[in-house]
Amino acid sequence: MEVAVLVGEDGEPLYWHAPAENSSVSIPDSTELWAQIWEHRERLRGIAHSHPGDGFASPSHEDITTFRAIELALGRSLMWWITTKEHAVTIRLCGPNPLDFSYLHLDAERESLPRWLNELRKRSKYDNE
Amino acid sequence: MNDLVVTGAQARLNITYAGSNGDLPDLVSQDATDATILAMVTEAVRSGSVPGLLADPNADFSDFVVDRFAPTEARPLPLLQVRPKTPFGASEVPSAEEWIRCAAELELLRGVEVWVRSNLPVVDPTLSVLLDALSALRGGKPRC
Repeated sequence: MEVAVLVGEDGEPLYWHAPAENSSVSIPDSTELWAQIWEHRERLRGIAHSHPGDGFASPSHEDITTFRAIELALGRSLMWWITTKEHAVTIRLCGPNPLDFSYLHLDAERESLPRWLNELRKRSKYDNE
Repeated sequence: MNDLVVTGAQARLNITYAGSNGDLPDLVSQDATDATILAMVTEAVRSGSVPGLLADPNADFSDFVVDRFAPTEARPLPLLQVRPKTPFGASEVPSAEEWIRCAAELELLRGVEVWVRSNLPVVDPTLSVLLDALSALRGGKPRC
């Protein structure tokens, strides 16, 4: 199941988003999720969400356009993370075109992974896929 | 989000953009379509007509949505709120543009793989690393 989490500047999760409407391949548009993003906007570092499977984590067109819309609304850039069961990436919208992005693969062998990442994978119930 | 009944009533229109939040000075028809609302908001923000929001000639609301709230005791007018969309994951029906973009990326990756195999010596230690990475990239494109 796809799950999202808001991550604070201190690296701690601010809000877990896993409503019943989430499916194994999508997180639908949510008024509540936006309300949480707005409420936590002053200390929000970024937003992570999970994708199904264990392949490479790459953003969909839906993901990228959502990233951009949220950044336009907040008036600032955020970190965006996507994880699968085995891989995770950090994504930034980098320009010059509105939907251009850069990504960095998070390598568990070279760096310590954020604590919320393991919790995100656990809540995504990969073992049930 | 839509809990309004069609009545022809006027509603307050609230907009969130660039870290600020403000109401359109004039009321709008609560029955206006989302497309009409977003066009109205785009023009208002671009011209600086929304108190509390700085003018932005490049304001883009193409990926914003309209939430609609019925009046309450505390808020006697219906409320329309313009906010960014928040879905993640694959669209249920990918657009033709998405398919073309994904196909182009996959072809590019195949092209890169062919070049790597043709130009790096078999004994080059980076060859297997690159091929593994390309394989992972191609294999991890579940959205296409």
